[in-house]
Amino acid sequence: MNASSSDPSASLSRAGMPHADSPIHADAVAHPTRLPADDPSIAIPLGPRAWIVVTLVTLVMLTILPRANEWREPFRPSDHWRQPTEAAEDYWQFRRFERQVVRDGAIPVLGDSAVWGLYAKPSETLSAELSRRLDGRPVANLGVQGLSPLTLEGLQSLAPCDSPPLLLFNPIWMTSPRRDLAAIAETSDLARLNHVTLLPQWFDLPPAYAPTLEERLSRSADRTLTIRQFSQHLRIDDLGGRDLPSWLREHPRALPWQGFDDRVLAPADEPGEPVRRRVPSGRETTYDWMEPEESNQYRAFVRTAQRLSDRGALPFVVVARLDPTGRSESCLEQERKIGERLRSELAARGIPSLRLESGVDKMADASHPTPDGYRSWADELIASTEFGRWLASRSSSPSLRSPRL
Amino acid sequence: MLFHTWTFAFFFLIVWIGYVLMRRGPLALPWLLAASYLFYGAWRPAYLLLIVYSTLVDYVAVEGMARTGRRGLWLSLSLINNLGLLGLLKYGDFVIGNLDSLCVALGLPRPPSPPGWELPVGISFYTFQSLSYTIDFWRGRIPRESNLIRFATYVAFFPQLVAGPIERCSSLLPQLVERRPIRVDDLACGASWFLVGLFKKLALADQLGAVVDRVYADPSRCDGPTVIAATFAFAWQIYFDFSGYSDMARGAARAIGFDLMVNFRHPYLATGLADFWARWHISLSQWFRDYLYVPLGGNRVGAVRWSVNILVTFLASGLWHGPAWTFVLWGAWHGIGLVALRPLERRGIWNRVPVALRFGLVQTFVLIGWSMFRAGSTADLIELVRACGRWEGIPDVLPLGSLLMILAVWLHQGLSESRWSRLVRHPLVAGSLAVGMIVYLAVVPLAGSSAFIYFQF
Repeated sequence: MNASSSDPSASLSRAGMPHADSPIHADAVAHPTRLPADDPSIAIPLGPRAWIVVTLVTLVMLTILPRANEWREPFRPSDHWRQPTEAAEDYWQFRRFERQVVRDGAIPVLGDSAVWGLYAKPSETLSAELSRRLDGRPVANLGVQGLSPLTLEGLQSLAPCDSPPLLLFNPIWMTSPRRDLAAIAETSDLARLNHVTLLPQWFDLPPAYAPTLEERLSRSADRTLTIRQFSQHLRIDDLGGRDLPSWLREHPRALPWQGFDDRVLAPADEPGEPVRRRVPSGRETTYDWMEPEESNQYRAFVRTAQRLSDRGALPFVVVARLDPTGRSESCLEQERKIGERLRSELAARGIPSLRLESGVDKMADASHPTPDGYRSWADELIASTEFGRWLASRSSSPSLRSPRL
Repeated sequence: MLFHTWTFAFFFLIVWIGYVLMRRGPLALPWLLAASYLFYGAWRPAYLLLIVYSTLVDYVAVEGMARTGRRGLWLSLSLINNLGLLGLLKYGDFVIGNLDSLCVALGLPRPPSPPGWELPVGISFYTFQSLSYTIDFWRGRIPRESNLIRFATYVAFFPQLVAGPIERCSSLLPQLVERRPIRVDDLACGASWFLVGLFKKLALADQLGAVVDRVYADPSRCDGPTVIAATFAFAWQIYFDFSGYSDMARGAARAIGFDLMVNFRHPYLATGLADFWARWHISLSQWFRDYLYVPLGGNRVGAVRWSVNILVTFLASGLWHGPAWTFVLWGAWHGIGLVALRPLERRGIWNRVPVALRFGLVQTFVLIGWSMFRAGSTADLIELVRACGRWEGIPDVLPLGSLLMILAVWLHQGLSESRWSRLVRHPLVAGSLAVGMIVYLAVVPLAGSSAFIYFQF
């Protein structure tokens, strides 16, 4: 019987596939090493030379694209601009903001949500209050929500600050092994880790952070490759935190490029609640303080300050205080000791600092001041001779004379 | 360990460097075997016991055939072992579940509960690959492989271990003997394949998956056009997913100097059902052809017997995909289609039908088949059919952007099989596509990726 076209065997044979009756090892003979261009099964037949060209063109495009986007998406931060909450992990935008701050000759203030101003409007934060007290000299709010000293260290390796900054130390990160990432209270804590990309991935990992190899490699790539940060920027800034396919599913009639606009995500003006001082609950608050020698966050903070100093961007460290309401004497004493220990360690490294005394009665929660609290902090800083000296010295800083853009 | 992960990139770099350094030495094969076992063990180290067991049984079976001359006995041992293990792990729950339903219906005592074993990833693929060795030796078509390490490497060769292509020993074993030098062309070719596969998986398949899942999760809430659009999306999702895996497997193998067989050849350009099966999952089609269809008599029998052979082959192929009636139905659908089309083909009627119409009919037929394949259960399948009776307007389940990408791929494939093939294969066009794919993957925010669909088979 003739092989008909409905016979898979016949079809396969016609298609040039080896047949079961083939002699031993016939397939190996029929599989010569072919040049890509001759292989019909390959969709993009490229030889070695073509691949070199493709690689070069790709590298050029990947370099140009983020820069072209800066041109497409102009960024003119307003006086009290701060990174929006939903863009807290947009490190590409953070870096752009930081560069702009250096360009504008502003004083950057680095830190977590206590710098960002969780319970304050952009015009009521520490940076805004300082700016007002310095006769309108620009002071930039580079605080990022959820940024612990450990992740601040990662952010500084990803987007190093080239201008001497004000650096805020928030002792809240040392108030328990869990906050210090020294221990996990619950398995679900792992899912709640902030800014995991910025945590150490290979050496000195905090005990609470146990990434898989895939997570380490992927996050290392995110930290190392600007194009990955740019991709994350597009996701956050243009697609509302979604990936493009999800955005397309929500906008089924839209074309892919319509998802990308030329606006930078702007921060909302409203603070979170409460904006007034919190009411004491009557219960005693206890903290399971970490010792500085054992604290991951403390050590990371000192390293960051040192690195900034080594790079010629001598920071001024502001040691914040926590709300003393309902806390025992020993607890307050431990916080004081940690503050003093940090100050002396920084002083030994030539880094100026100040432990805030004011504002503790103007806290919205344990570590975030109310707008009144920020005013007190700014007043205290302005009154400080050390801060004045640092301000004077930073004006003559070599990094400010020739900012790296 | 998935191809589209950083872990694989890291793993492959180490394996590649090690293999280049040891290629001619005695450690080359142990190195490849260790890499393959590490690759497989990354899913679950316990699975390694199964693959080692299968390898040893088939190696011993062939040794037994060669030394004792009792070839039938040793072949039976291999068949019972391989198919028994596959049957137990893959179909145990299915058989007991159906038996349970039957007993309930007949009022008989119910069988014990299904064991609920997890299906080891890739077991269907490496079992078939290993089986082909014992059967081919029994048939006298290949020589005995006395080197256990080489045979184990053949069974577990990491690029194609978990989802094929299902290689034959006549193709892969000689390459493991030869271990030819790796040339720059191999790297270029491997990179081309791998990039295409990666793009298919990450940029296309995974994105379509969300569209499909949304509809197939609850077909009762959908109308006909939505079901059709989702099934169309699934047809391309499974193609991009599986052929993407095959491309990456071929690319990885080629980069270390091994050629794996073509597994897909533009199946959605088929203008006949046999043509479709000559283009879709070629290594599995060939396996069933050589080890089931041909032994049953193939096409060297009468029309009725031929029809039975085709039906049996396609039912087995359907069942191979998974322990569910939907897969059996899918296999039967294609078997019946081939049988029904045969008279038209023998009388030359089919070939007189305009190509565009043949193309449309075949694609529609295949699409209907995919709805059976994708349906979660026979009850869902019935819901799908019911949904097709409802019409609530133009569906918006498949985004315009995704549709345009599918059409672009379809057009590219069509052109590459037309007289314009030299144009689409021109280095300038191919290079532009490569740059576009890399830039797209690097820049465009994409959803988190998932495992390959065929891993579950």
